[in-house]
Amino acid sequence: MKYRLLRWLRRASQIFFLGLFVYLFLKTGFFGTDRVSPWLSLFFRTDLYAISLSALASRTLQVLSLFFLAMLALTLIFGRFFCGWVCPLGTLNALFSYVFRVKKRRYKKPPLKYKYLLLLVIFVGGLYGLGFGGILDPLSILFKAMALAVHPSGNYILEKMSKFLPFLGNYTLVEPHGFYGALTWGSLLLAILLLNLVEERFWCKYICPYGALLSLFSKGNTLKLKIDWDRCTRCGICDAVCPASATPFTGWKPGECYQCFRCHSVCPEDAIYTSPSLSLQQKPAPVNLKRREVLLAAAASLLTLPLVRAERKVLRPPGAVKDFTSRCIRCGECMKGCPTSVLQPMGILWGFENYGTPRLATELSYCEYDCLLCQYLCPTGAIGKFTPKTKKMGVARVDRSICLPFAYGKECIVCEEHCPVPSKAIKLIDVDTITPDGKRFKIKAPVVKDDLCIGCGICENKCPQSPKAIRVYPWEE
Amino acid sequence: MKRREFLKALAASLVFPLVSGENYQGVEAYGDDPYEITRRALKAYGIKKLACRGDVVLVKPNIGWDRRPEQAADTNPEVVRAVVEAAYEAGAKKVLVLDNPCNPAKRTYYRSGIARAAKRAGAEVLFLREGDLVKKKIGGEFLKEWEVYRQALEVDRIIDVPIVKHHSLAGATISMKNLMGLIGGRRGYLHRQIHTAIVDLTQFFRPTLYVVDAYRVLKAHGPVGGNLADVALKKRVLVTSDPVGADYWGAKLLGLAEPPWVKIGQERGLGRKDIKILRI
Repeated sequence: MKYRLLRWLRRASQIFFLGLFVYLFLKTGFFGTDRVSPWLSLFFRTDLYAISLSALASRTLQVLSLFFLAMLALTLIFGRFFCGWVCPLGTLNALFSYVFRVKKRRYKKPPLKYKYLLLLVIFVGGLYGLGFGGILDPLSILFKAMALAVHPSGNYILEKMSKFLPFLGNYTLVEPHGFYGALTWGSLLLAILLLNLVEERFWCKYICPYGALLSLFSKGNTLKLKIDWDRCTRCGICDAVCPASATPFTGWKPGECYQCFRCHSVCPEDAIYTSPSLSLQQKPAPVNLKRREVLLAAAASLLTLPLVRAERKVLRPPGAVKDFTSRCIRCGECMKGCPTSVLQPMGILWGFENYGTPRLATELSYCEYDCLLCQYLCPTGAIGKFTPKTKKMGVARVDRSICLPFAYGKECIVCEEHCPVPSKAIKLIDVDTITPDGKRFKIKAPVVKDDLCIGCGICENKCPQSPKAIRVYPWEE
Repeated sequence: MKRREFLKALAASLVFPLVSGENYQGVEAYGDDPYEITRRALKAYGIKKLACRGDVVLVKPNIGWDRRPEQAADTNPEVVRAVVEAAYEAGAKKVLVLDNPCNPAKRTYYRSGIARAAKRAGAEVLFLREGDLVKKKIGGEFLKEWEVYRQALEVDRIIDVPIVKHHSLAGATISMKNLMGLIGGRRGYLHRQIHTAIVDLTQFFRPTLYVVDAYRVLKAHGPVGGNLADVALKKRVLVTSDPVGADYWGAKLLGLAEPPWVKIGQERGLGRKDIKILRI
């Protein structure tokens, strides 16, 4: 009875945290105040995997993100409760498996070890400053899939429906933006969900590196699962229903167990119980990791280093620190929060090291001069503190061969008009121009003052010419 | 024009000279409080002239930029509030406040303070969406056809509430250029012949009233501004139904002699620059 209650409690907790995740997601953005709470990125600030990887790769740590230590402490005590009770992606996986009545098909020898090898590859890379492991963080995958794919497409559907049901129009986004990589990240989430058809919670069991890390710390957790062998009829149903392949019957693996209490409540004899104890006497059943495999994975990680390094100069968010790719955990908070959606995830063509990190996509949008949001959302300080005055993302350059006044003798100055720098980084000069018909006269034309230009990209964005006659480039002092 | 409206206008035109003793086309109020001077100017001009009973009125402030009120890039929120309140007093059924800003709409609406002020006065603050645009024949000299927000076409009347600002191409942006906020599309194209274009727009939209906010004016680095040193405190508001007179009055505050679009507007018979202004 007790365990059936605990199981319901666990389900309630899962729904609560999924709801909280979605709530914080929807609240991430501009709602009338320039300062937003850093706790909007609560899930990432307590993300043991992503924060520790970022800390390892960049050798820095945000004070507000020290709460990831709380996650560590809780895991040492309660084991992988995060996977069973909190993780929103885990909840989605469980829901998907439940809704589609996934058959309890099992591998004879579950390939549990690969997630540890993956974790090893990622963290050895982290030693050398590689932060790409963030793209496999379950929270980050879910958040990015929601921000880049689900939210914009949901808004699109709402817009179309509002043609027939006008009141829905009030709930659509005022300025919807598309995202690069929407299909990739959306498909990744879909793929993870579909993997549940192969086996229940396939991702959580066999791939998730966050789960692997938590499992390393939960080997000796205090919630010991025990079986009353006098009552047990050796039916083995507990092994069969376990969503984590933690095999309570053939030898409980505390590192795999989600503390979900399913086996407890399923056992027909009520023979399974959990007793809190500090003792390490019960020898945990091992995952068969061979030393050779471990060394191979570590070596592979080092070998990939030159393959993934990207030295290309790119436009980064305002306040971006020098070792941006090391610190960034690819969580997508800044992309969701950005009111102009100028922060876009980088694709694979930008180099694997940059994959999934935000860049300033001035060809799509621009950075709003007075906007300060992304710095509060960033859980790792990859986007450092800045004010409108200290923003310096890049510098704009005019291409006189296509600029309307310069090349065609047509009045324009749209770039200067929109320039938000109080004393204008774009200055207008009177130049002699010659139209294609050969008429000569004086006209106002733009020139950029490098020291004043912050590289926000509104000039590029509003330039009426195509291709753009003014563009933003990375700034090098 | 409805008969009732016509009769009212007729009555007003007969009574106004009797009351004031002289034929004024505009009222300028001067004072320390932007709300109070707007209120005073509107009262002197005649609040009844803002709307007929049951009208849906569109109040079109300049909410173009993501700036605070003291930076004078957007219309003063207190002026907007006074106009919205007066429109309701005149009998308007509904007052809409909207603009198509150059910066993200949500940020400009909130940070300019206009969303809050207008809501306080009971206005419906609307965000414009891509789907609200309709292609419309403008029939101007430069603008033949353009995408216009349907809200601007559906309302009974438009009250233009601009701020007086410097603009590097047009010289200044006042009441006529403010109407660019009611159109969509690639608005930068209008810069090819900005003076003709904004007169075309004024002729198309024909706002019934202009409440020009010159409480703070932006003297340089417009229309975005941002530097408080460029802002001058002029502490006045003009109420008139004459766009040419309004823009001439505003341009003078910025030290401009006679901007081209004022000249074009007068030639086309939109109004007269030398309107008689009652100063209170």
